[in-house]
Amino acid sequence: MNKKELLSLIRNKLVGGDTTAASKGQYHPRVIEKSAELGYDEILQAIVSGGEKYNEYSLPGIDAMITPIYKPVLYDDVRGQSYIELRVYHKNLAKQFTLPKQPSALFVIIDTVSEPIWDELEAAKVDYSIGVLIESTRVYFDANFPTTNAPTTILAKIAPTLSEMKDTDEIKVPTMALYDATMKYWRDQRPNDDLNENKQLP
Amino acid sequence: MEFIEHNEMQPVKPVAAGKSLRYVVMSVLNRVGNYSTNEYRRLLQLAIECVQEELSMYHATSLEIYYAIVDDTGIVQMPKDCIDYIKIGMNVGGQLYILGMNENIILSRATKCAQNVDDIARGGLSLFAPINGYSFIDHMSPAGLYVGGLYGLGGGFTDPQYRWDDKLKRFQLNGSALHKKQVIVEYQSTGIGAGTILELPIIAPIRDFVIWQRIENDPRVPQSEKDRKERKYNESIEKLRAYKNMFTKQEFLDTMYRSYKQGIKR
Repeated sequence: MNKKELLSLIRNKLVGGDTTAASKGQYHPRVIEKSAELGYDEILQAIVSGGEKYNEYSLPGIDAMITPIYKPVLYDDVRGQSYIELRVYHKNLAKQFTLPKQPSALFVIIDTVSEPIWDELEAAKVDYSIGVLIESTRVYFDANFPTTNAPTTILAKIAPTLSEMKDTDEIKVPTMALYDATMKYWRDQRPNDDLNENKQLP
Repeated sequence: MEFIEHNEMQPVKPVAAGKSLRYVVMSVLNRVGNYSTNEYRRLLQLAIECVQEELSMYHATSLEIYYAIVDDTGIVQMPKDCIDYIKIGMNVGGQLYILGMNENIILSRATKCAQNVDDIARGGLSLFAPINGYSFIDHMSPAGLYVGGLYGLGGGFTDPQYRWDDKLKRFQLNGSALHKKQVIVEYQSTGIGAGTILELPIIAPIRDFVIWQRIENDPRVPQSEKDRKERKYNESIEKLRAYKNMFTKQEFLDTMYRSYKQGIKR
């Protein structure tokens, strides 16, 4: 099931059929998408904490969830680093960042606060791979990123959050689990109509 | 129309005999099944530490050559990857002539850069230095016969002399003959550089070291597992040591031949 189908399924369940136009308007597709993102994040968190509990740096189960995403490279003047706009939920969910035409150009994922340590150790002097710093909504590249003939697009192979998926992307988690997680945010909360006092909405 | 048979051999890319540290780290990642790169730099650091601290010092020395120019104070500063020196000498006719060691040369700890050790030691007088820094008196007579008295008369080629300053990792030379001239130093190096090529026998110990150290400081891993990995690493080192200490065929034959005697001929 792809993303668009799932969201219209949820919308159909909530306000499908003969509901009035006013009700349908309150359950706008973007609103449903936002709560579906919350549910999907919860599933990703369960996968990640399961991996950390058993000391798995690589999560074999997420290989099926890896999606290729292409992003253009931008430049941040304040930090002096190139970056791409990409939301990665957790660094264990990011498999690989490469150039689209050179899959063996190695980008190394490093922790965002480890740079002072690496600068002092020998690994930074011997290896000239490009480092990748995964921060909240952006992925930065360190000083080894080429400045002459700089690449314009980066291919990121990650397990994406729902916001990074296109409408036609397959959702790889069991879709009923995602449906339940989304509906949890809707179940107990009904919107109130203050104009018609005390009348329950259908 | 070309007909290509299905069992025609495709050109095969050769497997390299010299590997880099990066290869070792990739090999470890493959063995633990991690195909992302979030452990890469940490494992590379562990591999570097293994080569520097465990192998270069005790099991697999790496020999490097350094072509140095002696400065005005007679000091030859070794590069940063020098652990210990092996030879120092001059290039005479394409051969390395080793300098003589003199443990009594005063090591310069002078604060002024241009102070000459000779001036400090001898009050400004410097001994006569032969042309080109070496003197060699032929110990054959003009008729081509060996004359024992001439052997080493000129002092050989051990002027100038050197002393190794281990704390600052540099040579102190006396005599002014070699100032601004080139000396050649062979030394034991850490073996780590950007293009370091490792020989095949030391790949396995590095890999076992990295696999062990990867979990050594993790409190979630049981102690028995850590002990097992450490044992595996120690076995790799034993195998490397056995390989390095193997004698060659020529050495074996030499030993055999040395014991041969001829009996008395009657």
